[in-house]
Amino acid sequence: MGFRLRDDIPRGTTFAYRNPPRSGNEINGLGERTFRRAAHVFHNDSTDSLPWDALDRLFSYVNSWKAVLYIMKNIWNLRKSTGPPAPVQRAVSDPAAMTREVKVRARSLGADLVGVTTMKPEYVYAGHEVPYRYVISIGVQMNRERMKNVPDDTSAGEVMRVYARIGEIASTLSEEIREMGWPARAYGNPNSGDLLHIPIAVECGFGELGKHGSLISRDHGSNFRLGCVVTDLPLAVEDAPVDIGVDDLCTRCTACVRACPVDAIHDRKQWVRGTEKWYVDFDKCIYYFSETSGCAICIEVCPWSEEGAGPWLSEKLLSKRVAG
Amino acid sequence: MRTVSAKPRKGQERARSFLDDLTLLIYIAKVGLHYVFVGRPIRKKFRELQRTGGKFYVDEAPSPRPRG
Repeated sequence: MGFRLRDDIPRGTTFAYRNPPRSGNEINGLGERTFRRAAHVFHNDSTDSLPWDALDRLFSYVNSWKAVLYIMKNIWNLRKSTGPPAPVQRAVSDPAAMTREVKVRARSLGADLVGVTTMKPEYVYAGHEVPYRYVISIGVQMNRERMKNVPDDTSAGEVMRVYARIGEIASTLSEEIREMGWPARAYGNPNSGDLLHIPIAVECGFGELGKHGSLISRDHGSNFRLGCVVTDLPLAVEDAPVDIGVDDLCTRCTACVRACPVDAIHDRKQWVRGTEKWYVDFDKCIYYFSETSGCAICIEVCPWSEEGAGPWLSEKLLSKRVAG
Repeated sequence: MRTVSAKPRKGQERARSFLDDLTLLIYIAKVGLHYVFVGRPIRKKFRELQRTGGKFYVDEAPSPRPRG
């Protein structure tokens, strides 16, 4: 049976600005046809002062207490995110074998998705530096049962539980890489201010960007969260972007567009900093997102997020393309 | 534009000490206490305005909290 949005979801928004900050869409580069690196808008880790900081603070205050408990746990988990590498470096003669070892280890720690790619400047926010050679992207699935009543305290708690889990996995993995004598740093917090996690995960072959602005994976839909480890450990980049048929469905499907209580989801792709892609209207989304502990309606109504539906859906869409 | 790098910068990391962990635990406790005590009147006002259909003006929100 498909996902059904509950009838009593909050409608309208309460937060408002008397003097709104600079448009988040403008900061994000909506309508721009030339490439530039992304700039921060929301979710700050204190390295910058952001135009929408005041709303971000209120988001923290009205957030579900369950989410706050997991945020506190994640801060603790991430204490191991950085540190000096061991003085003796383990020689790596076979980067492909090392990559396999890292992936097996990440999965044994609890990652559902693991991929490796080369660090590129476009993955890093403007004005920030991440001087490492490789990125190990990590995805962890959310419990679909706990997400079924989005947006509520249970779903908000589940989102932050998964981030705390990612924080633990990424930190442990980075610590183990440093024990091998190679520099490594974990990013396991949605507020971690240096990196854009979605383009990295796309490059690692996790899935494709969906109409709702989140990543869609063949096996987990959008029902998962991302983190990563950056490192200089010699690795082999064997992962590549995948085509699972997301665009074929998203161009026709309007499930997220119709479900969004504030009409924030564009039905057509938009130009954003030189790329034509699916985009969610920040200025419409962010008030509702902040008031409902992160909302997540769009990712749960997505047909790809239905457990077990992805592989079948992908196969059907791709075979249709061949036949057509 | 000034360039910022994750702290501590690469190559300048030092081993974590007991004092670092203790400082972090105190910070986490502050985040929790701030959420409970400073956040309570904000949540109360927000829920009330949400019920009555009023507006909570973000520009009039109180001072920053410790960041999580």
